[in-house]
Amino acid sequence: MAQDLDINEILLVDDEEDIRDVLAIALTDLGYRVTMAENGLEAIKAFETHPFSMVLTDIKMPVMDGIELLKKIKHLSPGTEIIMITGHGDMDLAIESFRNQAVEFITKPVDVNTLETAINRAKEKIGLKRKLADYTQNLERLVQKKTDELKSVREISAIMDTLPMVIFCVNPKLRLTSCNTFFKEQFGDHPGVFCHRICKGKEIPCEACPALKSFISKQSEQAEITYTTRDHREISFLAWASPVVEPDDTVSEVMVMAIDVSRVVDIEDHLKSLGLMIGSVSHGIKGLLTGLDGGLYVLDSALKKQDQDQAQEGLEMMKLMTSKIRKMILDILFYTKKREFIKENLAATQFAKEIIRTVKPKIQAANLTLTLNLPQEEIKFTADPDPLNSAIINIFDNAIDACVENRERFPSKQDQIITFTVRRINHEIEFAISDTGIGMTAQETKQAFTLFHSGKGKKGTGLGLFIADKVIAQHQGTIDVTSEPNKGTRFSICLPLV
Amino acid sequence: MENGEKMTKKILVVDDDPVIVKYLINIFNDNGYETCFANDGAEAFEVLKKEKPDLITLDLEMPKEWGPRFFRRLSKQPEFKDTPVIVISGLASRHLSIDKAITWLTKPFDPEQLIGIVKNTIG
Repeated sequence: MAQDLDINEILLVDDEEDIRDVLAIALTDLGYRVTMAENGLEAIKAFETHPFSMVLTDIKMPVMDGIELLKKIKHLSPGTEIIMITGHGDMDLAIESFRNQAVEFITKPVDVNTLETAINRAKEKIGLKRKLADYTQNLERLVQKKTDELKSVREISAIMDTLPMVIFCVNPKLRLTSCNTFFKEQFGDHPGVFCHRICKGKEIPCEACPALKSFISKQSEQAEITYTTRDHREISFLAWASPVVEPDDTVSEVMVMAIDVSRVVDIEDHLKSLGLMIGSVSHGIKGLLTGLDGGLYVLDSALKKQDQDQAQEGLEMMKLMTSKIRKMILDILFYTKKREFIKENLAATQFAKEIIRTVKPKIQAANLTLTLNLPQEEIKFTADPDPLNSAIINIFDNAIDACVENRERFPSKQDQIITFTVRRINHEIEFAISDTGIGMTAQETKQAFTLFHSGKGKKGTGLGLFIADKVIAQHQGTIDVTSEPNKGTRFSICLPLV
Repeated sequence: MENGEKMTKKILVVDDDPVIVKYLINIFNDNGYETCFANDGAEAFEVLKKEKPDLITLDLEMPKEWGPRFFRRLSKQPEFKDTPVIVISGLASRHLSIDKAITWLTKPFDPEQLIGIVKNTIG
């Protein structure tokens, strides 16, 4: 188990020999013993003969990549902490890594201070987990003692019921044999049903199932696991499974105790995404500032030469950069500021007209056609107008860019149209923005709302649609997108009318 | 005088941001250098073979092929391995694999400083 592993040993995985060597020297200087592997497969082999408490791995490698390695190691040894390394801008990979419980994410070129900070954080987490495990073992001992004491008088359920954690027992087939009140509150009472069925709605056992492991190892096992409650909430639990070993050395049952850690996970996620954002944004801002310098230089040099055309060019560069910096800062402010929603009673036509007033100049400047389908009969709805307004304008911005790009790529497609529809569908109001622009592939559509995924390359911050999605969710609404490459995209926002 | 020696020196600008390419080209042209440019490493390699520049400015973060890979490929070409490279990047720290760059400038950079280095290197 990870609890017994040497905290000063690191497994280093990278396919590039020179990078591996330099990192190994840096790690050795920091006082770690380093074992090296060229790819994921080699790393797994090394890990199986000698487990590590910490792994530092590149993501992009042949044979077995870093994400695959991360999943395998987390499966073999949940207590091992894994730090991922990759090139700048791979935010999708970063998020994928964190989803698979990577502890830290550092970007190339690897800076020694960043590396040290990442390792120290991993160490801290390992320390905390060990403390937690010690605490749990004490708890287990306590429960065991109490169990022994009370078994004869069958009062165990009374104790289990008073504990504010999920406790349940399963037989070797993973069918529920008993559970406490807290469990019943969260998942209902289903004696004899498979635990994965009750807690996850799945037909096969969970990938990291600690109970299954405990039946095999006859020891306590722990795992971080997400269960779905009967009111369809997904909650992250830290679960410990302890075997009930019979005198003949067989395991008749496993008792699982799980604590709700979703708030911790939420906070952790938020901090991670904030850290990621600051990293990616500061890099972007440097580029924007350089662009601003560039515009100023071109303008200045044009004035000296009295070159009117070049002066115009310099001015355009500066305007472009200023608007990008402005947009980026507004996006960041929105994301970092926790704000209260103030809902107002609104009339759809007037609300739509305000949006049109903002976007119309941009649409005209880009020489696009705007078609409007506004409702005949007034629709009244409640929403916080400011964030909703900017969410919809963000979508318009994307539509304009998509149309301009399509026209640039296909000279035959000069007539680009954006259509804005506001209508009532049963008990909902729909705002739909469709364009005849460049469109997105199925993969791009899927990623459209993820944080830092920018479909516009370096032109976007990757925050716009993420924020739009957040705003709509806070209004209990839904946002849907359908898109086809070179045909166009349709965003539909639906908000409940009551 | 060596046959084919160029009167005006030529600089290859490699950056994926068109605004920054425009900026650098303006700086170099104003100081009497010829320029050519590329938007990523792969393209830069093509331009390199065609234009045979006297100096290269290289961004690191680019789509398709990024700076370090271009640099590695460059170092393996006998004809170009001695072409001086100035890294101009938004990244604060030095990339381990580009140890032979003549200098590292962090964006936003000082144009006077850049021109000073270029003049010292290729005249």
